[in-house]
Amino acid sequence: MFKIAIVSAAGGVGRSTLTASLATLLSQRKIAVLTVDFDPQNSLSTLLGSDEVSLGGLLPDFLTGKEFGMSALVNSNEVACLPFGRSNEVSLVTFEQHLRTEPEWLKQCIVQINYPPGAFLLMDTPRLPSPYARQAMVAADLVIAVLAPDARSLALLPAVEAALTRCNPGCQLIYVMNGLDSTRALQSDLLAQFRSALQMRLSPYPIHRDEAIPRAVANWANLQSLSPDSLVAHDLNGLLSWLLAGPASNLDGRAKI
Amino acid sequence: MRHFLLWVTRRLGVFRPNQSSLWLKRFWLPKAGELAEPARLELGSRPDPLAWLAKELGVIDRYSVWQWVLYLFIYPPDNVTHTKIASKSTFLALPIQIIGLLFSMLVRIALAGVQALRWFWQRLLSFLPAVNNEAVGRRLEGWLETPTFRKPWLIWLLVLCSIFFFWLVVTTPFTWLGQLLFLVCLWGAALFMRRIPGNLPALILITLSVLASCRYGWWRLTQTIPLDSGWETFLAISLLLAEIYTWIVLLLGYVQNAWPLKRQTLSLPADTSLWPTVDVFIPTYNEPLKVLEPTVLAAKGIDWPSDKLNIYILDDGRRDEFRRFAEEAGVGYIIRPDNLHAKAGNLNHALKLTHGEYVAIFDCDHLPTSSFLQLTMGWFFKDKRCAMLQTPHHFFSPDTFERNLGTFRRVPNEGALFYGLVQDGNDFWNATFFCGSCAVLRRGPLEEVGGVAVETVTEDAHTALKLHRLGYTTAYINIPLAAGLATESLSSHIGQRIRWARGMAQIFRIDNPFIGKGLSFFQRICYGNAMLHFFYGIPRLIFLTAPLTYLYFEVHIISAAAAMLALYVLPHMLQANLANSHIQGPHRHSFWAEVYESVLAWYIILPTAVAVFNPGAGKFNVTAKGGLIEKSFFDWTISKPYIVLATLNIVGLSIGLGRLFFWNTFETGTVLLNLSWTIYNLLILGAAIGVATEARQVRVSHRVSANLLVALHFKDGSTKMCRTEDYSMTGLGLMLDQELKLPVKERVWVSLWNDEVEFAFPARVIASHGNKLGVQFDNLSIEQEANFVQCTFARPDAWSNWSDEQDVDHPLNSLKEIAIFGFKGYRSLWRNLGKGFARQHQSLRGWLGRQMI
Ligand SMILES: Nc1ncnc2c1ncn2[C@@H]1O[C@H](COP(=O)(O)OP(=O)(O)OP(=O)(O)O)[C@@H](O)[C@H]1O
Ligand SMILES: [Mg+2]
Repeated sequence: MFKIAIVSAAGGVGRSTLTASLATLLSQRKIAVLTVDFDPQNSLSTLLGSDEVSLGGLLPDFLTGKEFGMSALVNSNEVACLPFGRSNEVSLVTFEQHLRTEPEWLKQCIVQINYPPGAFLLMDTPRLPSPYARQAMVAADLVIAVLAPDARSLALLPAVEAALTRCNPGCQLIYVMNGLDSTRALQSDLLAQFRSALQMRLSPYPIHRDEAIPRAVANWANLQSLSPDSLVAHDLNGLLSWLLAGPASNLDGRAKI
Repeated sequence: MRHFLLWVTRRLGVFRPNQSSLWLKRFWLPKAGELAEPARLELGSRPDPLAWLAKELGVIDRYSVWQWVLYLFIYPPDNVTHTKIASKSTFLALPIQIIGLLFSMLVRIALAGVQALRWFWQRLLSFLPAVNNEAVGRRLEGWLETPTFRKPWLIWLLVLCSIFFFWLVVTTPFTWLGQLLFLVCLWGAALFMRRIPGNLPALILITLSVLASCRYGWWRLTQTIPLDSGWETFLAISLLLAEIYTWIVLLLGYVQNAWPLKRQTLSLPADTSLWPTVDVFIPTYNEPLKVLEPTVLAAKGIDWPSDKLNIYILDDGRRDEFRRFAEEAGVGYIIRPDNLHAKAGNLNHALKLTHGEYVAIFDCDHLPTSSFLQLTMGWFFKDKRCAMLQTPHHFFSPDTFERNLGTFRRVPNEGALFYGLVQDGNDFWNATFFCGSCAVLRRGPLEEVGGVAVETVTEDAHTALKLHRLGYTTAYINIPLAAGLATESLSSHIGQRIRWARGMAQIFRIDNPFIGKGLSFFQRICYGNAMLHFFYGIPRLIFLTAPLTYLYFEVHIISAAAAMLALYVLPHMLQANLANSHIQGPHRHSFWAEVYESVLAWYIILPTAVAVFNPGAGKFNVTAKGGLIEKSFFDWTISKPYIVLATLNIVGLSIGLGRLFFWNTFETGTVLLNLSWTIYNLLILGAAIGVATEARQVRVSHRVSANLLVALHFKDGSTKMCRTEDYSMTGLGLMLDQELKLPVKERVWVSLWNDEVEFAFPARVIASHGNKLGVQFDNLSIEQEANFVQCTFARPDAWSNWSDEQDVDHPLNSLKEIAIFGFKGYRSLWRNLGKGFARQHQSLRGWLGRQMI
């Protein structure tokens, strides 16, 4: 199984959106995919088409001692999603306490999942620094750091790298820009700066800011079928192909097991 | 005078001189003239069978002979329209219709014949075992590499044997049967050989062609020169000289193109600190800024360390606008006090003020692609003696031929032969010519020969000649790495070629490549052929008029039986055609050389002659580019020589028909031979006339068709991916997956990609139909324009697949196509003649009307 953690140092940059979009696209390409919402916001399942916030999920399962992954949902695109589940302050404190004492908890849980070898696992996380993101990074074979085309993301670049070296030094790290508005000269300049700073580690396919994304979310529709010829659909396709040909090609699940 | 005219017309029985039908009746059908006035009175008095017929057929004016012919033979009876047809337009339309009918009938018959022959041929071939031509080609190439052929004594033996047999074949006289067999054998061998790709089959075809041509030449020289009367001998010798000229050019051409080198690109050292400094010169004189701007922006984008690349605009027009632009674009701007020696002087002046190790030169309308230096400079590292590297001149707009005949990107254009084959051929002999633009020169050698040559008006070729004389090497890479605008109109095309012809003749005179030191034998041949080539003016005119001497005056300028002449000349022409079709096929379709040359022949005679006798005379003219032909028109001034020649040939053709059927029935063969020659000439001349019909140009900036990825950004934040149909400096034509209706003037952004980097440009919708969308840019900044050029014109692969969709050469198809162009040329001439007459007719009518009152 290819395990990918999607992280970022800044909030609201589109991690959850990217996770959901990539998952949908993967399953359209007939690749089995499981997403894990490892963010107490518990919003990934709605992005994947569930019409209400799911109550069950990995936190309630943990608290009630059920097996990991029992409350996964599957949507009509055959994307499986394990929601975080409803939480409250007390449960979160307990859970986070547990995560701190056992940094490899998520990793071990994932190993137990019985999933086809070529499948992808995508983990959505809260913004760094967070125990959830750290768990996901420890469990991951590949970490995708999402960047916004702004100075804040540029300033926070070292933070992501540092967090990863601390918890999973050998892990591959790549960067994806999201929300680019190429009609603004400033953003294009920033992209050029990111390029020169990150070189090959930055995906050549920045994801553009596009109305198609909120529209798809509002209509509970799949982006690729709602606006197949939108720029963002093109970007996502390009990103996935680049991932499969480059960074994700050496994460061969069969070889690892 | 006017009274006299009127009096004459009345005397002639034409009472209304402004009514053309009366004239016709008077002269063509004298009897009909009597009907004209009195018959009208009797109308309706008694039943008239003629009237009934006229009504049935739809003839409106019973007294118009043309209408009768028209309705009886041309218009289908059910298509009767009772509209009044002006006698004049009928008069004009009729011959066109008849000619069209005859022509299409002829074409039908010819096609049926070809079909039948093809069927027969296929049947014949089906009995033979199939041959894998590609494999045979490879095996032949393989043989060359085998060591057997490397033994010097063997080679000498072979050479001696071949010379002996060659001499034998060339000089042995045959009877007509023998010669016929010779023809058939050679032709059969050539038909087989031409199917095999590769250089060796080309050489074999060349050998066959040389054999046939030499045999023809020998026979022609020894047996066919009439020596009785002075007049006849003079004409005969002229024709002979013209033939000798073409024969020499043919042979020299074979040597020149024997083994096209097809040089590959070389990579540069990885360490960019070793890369040399390059100055890019963009000379300009009177071209508008709009033309220069993209070139400078493209040059700025050339992929090269920025501290080692300096761009200079060399403005001989000394325009403030240009200076400002240079500042804004951040490039150098050089002017000089005078315009001495035009472009050459301009370049030399800049050479003194700059210091780069290499100089790249681009005419102001040649946009370099970003990979230009990276792909060319490698050879200078490998070959330290290399002084110049040339790349092709590629044109993204149609030239006059392509526009006026409608052959753009379908038939290789005039330059294709030179840049596709001749330069590659030259390169093999280390004789690549410098062509003034799209080239890189090493500064040292260039300064050694005193900069760009100023003695002639083709400074480029002359500079290369001087470099070669000093023993430097040159290189040619046949990859289009820059592109520009072709000459706009026929007159400017001719102006440009006159300059080339003049310059070549000047070099021939003052620095003749056949003499002087420093050149290898083959370099002399390459240069010599290039120069001799421009003397085709007189020979071409001789060929265009030679059959007339017989048709008009019954002068036999070749003293041989027609059949024998045909038997000798046919192998010569067939073999040359087949060999050239094999060598030049992708770069020049069969018979097109005749068209290209015939258009220019008349115009280059005088300049070349003057240049040979007095190299200094005449002045230098700059070709105008970037103009726009706003209305279609027929260029009467330019086409005068072709019209005169065509008229002469048409008259000759009519006389010839008389000779065929009445006067010269005792030598039908001779008449037929001359007639077919005349018809061929007429077709070529027709095509030349067609080129003089200047087609309208619709757009100011040329659109390059291309299929590039584009993203449209709309105001509401949504986007759409689409592809370009074409691009120009001012806008894009886009094609979407689905229909999309956008209001005109709507603001959008369009993004294009250069490699992986995206650039967005503000634009407005100017047209929206179905799934097509036209957008125009909205005040791009200079930086945005530069980015746009990099995304489009300057892409490394922008021109690499340009001729992929080109038709392949089929000699017969090519002939057919030229015949059709010839016919269209006459039609256009006829129509324009009609228009001209109509105008004159009107003024004449007004004038006569005033006289009557
Ligand atoms: N490419 C895009 N184009 C347009 N809108 C986008 C794009 N990417 C994300 N958005 C919008 O931005 C908002 C934030 O996205 P999202 O929730 O995926 O970000 P996040 O990084 O997961 O945020 P959080 O830190 O809250 O978890 C959403 O409303 C989403 O619709
Ligand atoms: Mg989120």
